[in-house]
Amino acid sequence: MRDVFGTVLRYKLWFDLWGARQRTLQAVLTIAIGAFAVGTILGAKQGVTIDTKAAWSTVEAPSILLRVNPPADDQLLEALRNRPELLKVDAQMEQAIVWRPSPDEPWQPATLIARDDYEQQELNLLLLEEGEWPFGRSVAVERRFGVEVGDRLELQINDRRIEVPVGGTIYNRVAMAASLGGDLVVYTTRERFSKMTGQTGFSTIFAAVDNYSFETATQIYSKLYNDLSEQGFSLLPAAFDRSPVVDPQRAWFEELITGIGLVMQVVSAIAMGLSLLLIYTTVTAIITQQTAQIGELKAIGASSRQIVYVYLCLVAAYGLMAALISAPLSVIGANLLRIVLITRLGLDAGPPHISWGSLAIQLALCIFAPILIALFPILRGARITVREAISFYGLSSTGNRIDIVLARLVWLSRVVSMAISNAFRNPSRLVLTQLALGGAGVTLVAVLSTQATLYYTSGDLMHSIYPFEVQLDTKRPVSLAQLSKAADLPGVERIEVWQTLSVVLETADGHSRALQLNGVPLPSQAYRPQLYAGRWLQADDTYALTLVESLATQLNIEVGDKVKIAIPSRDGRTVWASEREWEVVGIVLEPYLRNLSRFGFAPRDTLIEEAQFGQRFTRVQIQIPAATGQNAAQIASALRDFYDRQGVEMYTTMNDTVAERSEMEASNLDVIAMLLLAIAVIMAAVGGVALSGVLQISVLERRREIGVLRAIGATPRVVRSLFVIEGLILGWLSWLVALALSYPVGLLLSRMLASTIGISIVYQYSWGGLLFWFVLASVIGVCASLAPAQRAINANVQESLAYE
Amino acid sequence: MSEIVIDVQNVVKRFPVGDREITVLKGITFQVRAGEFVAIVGQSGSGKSTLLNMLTGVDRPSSGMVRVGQQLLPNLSENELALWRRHEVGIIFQFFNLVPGLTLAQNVRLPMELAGKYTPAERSQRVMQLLEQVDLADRADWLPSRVSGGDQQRAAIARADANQPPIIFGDEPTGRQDPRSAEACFALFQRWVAAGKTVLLVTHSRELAARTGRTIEIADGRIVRDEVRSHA
Repeated sequence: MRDVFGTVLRYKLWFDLWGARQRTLQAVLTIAIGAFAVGTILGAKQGVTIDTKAAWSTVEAPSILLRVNPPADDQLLEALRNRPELLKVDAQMEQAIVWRPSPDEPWQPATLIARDDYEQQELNLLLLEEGEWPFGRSVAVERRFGVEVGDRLELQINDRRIEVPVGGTIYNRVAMAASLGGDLVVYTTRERFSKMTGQTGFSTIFAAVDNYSFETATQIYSKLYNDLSEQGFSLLPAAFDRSPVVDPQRAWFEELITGIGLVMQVVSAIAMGLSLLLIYTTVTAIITQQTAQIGELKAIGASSRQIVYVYLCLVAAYGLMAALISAPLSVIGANLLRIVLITRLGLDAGPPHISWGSLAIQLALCIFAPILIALFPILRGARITVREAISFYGLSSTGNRIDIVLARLVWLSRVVSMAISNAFRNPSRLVLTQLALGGAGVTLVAVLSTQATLYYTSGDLMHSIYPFEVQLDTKRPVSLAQLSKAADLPGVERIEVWQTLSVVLETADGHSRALQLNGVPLPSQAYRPQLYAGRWLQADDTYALTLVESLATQLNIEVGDKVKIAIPSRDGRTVWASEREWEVVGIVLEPYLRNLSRFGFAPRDTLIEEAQFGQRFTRVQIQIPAATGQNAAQIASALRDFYDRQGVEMYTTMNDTVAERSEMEASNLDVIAMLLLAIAVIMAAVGGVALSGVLQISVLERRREIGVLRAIGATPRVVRSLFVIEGLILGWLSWLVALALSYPVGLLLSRMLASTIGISIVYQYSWGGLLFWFVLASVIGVCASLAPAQRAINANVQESLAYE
Repeated sequence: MSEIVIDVQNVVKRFPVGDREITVLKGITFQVRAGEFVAIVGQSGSGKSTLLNMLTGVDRPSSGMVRVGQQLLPNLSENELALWRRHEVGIIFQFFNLVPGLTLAQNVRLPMELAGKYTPAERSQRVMQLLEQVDLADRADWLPSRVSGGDQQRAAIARADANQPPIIFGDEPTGRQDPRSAEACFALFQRWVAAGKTVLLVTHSRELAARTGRTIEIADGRIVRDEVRSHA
């Protein structure tokens, strides 16, 4: 450092920084934008992890969730609380209802919930956000649904309409948030719930076990299942994935968070790569521009080491300034992004947070990365001989192949010809520019393709797999004749009846999972499998299974594998009605998040036989004429009413129709889709800065040449055209790069994301995205070239000719 | 007889031009003794600047031997050449002169700092002395961009003597100056020679060359005249 700060070279450093302010600004912004992106993304990622952990850590999540029928009374709950294997037991009353904020608004689905004592909750803790816990007629509602304390709601419960005042809002971390497509939850007192619904017991029971493991919790559940069955209760799993046992440490949004984290990591890596490329390009250009000065310094005795130090100090100064700009901005950016994502998940964002780890990475990226990256061009520059540095061979090189080809194109305008020549003049810089701008284009189209894939998978693909729009699940097995009566209803085209069972699958290597096995009639009209491997079930299949891809991947199951399926007994005398080997004949893609897609398909008749149910079924698939989502929901509601009148109890679900399920899946993926879109915008901005930087440097390098052009009569319009055409050529080249590489990169990104968040996908390339990049690259090309062109125009001819 | 400080033996320099090769210096041989004032003259393209590049280590001969002082220049690496230049030679370039971000005084001071020569106080004193010699003391704190091309060239002349090298090379060192300034610079060169320095200039000007102690004329890459005068 003494070589620089101990000599007058420190004044050169200052002159290079302050005397060339525009170049300094360009270099500093180049470093800062990449570091800002990395700092923001990594900081937000860490903040989201901290906030979600903090939110979940105080939930007191249960490990066993059950729906009991008939609902449990206090005596049963007390008995459960006395069981030594259960650490804690809590329960709530639940019923599906509809609500509306005022008589002129449409009815919307909701769940009515009551706890015994809101002040003494044991598990799945609810937090009072505002107002008071439910009391008397006053209810509380789930927050962020646009319902405030003091509002009044109209509820429809069992054909009765009741108006209730809202006295409080509640923060339920276990319920799916409004922003993710969840439905309103209305909380009331136990007494009021009984009055409104006629139900006095608790339909949902939560239990925590000591030292949770899947195996111990499953054993406890099995024992509980048998004991309660013997007492005449029917039990059904109530967890998100319809399994009775869940890991209390694992939040329902865990996979979404992992997916978001993956996207963020990939993007920060891309942003870091692009930033380093930009730094390299900028430093190379500065060294090229100062070649003559390097020669002069060497001629008067400066060693290579001294020259290296001069330029390393310059780059370090750029980095330091970039760090000073980007660090506070990225702390703000990271907190804003964290708040957006956490709010989107329906959780509370914690206080402002500084991620020291990501700040350290950002500072390293600002200061050390530019130095390391710049070392190569600086060492190359310092090694230049005095003769190479001060030789003066005229205004341009002797001409490359492109110039020779362009010279033959006599019909081409000279301005266009010169712009093309300029764009290709420095091949290594062209490659670097394309790595940055083309990289931005590839990322943008890949990201839009990933987004299109997510939406296609949860939209069109779901409709294609499930052509029957409405699906209803009965609470108890029902005869075919009773379920088929709905076929005569107006608007119903066809009905298909399935059997669905919660079973336990055990692989040959001893891994087991609870899953839902769907018994389908063969051939099925209501299910059009999207095969991933193997084949679909055939009419003569018996002990044959197809599993969803995410489950097969988790358990490492392949086509041809034999697995054990244990079907719980319903008579209470034995634990299992059937335990035998089935063969996996196929693996299918399912457009559901992993936590909703632990299921498989089996021949219905064989499954019924094994379950010992007789000819009784639990699911009805109903085909209706092509209808909008709203019409389908109305028909589904009418079907519910019909079955209700027939005495067939249906499960409460807010997703009776494929359109509703599709919408819920899309809502789940919205956070990621939104993030992907934000990334696409950042990438476009980085690409714009990259191109603008390259063109700025192009102006600096060719200032003398521009001076000559103007001296011989080139108008400002001609000079501007030169740069705009060069910008367009570089932009269009980046489009070609995107055309060539975005498909495989998008496929890779989609697969990585799908694997992380646990969905199966059918890849959709975004042709719209490719077209968008063409337009955007053209706009960037023009916009990024206008400022440099104006600089070239504004410089007077004498200055340009004297420029060194 | 004083010692030989520049010894050039049969130097050939070839340059590739496209797929051809042209020979710019075609076997140059001459010697310069300490304290001589030499002018190398010739027409444009004759090879005189290329010869100067060989003598300052800026370029290397394709063949032949160049010794300046005690150093055989072709044997030195780029870094060794830079270290050698610090102490042994001063160079005045025709076009590339001063570091743009440094004032005239800082430009003159820079070689001393690079070489680690003199104390800071001595440096300051010497900078002012050197600038006074070229009539630039009043513009010591000006940036090169604020002064004329002639002033920049005079600052470069002052800088060439910063470390008191025994040999000074100049490429058209007065080419951008008015007659009065050029005369003052020539007088300075003469004082350097009188003080025992060896000065070798490349110039177009036969008039200037005629006032030095020796003129070597180059034409088409060869020495066509080597005239030593007694008046210098």
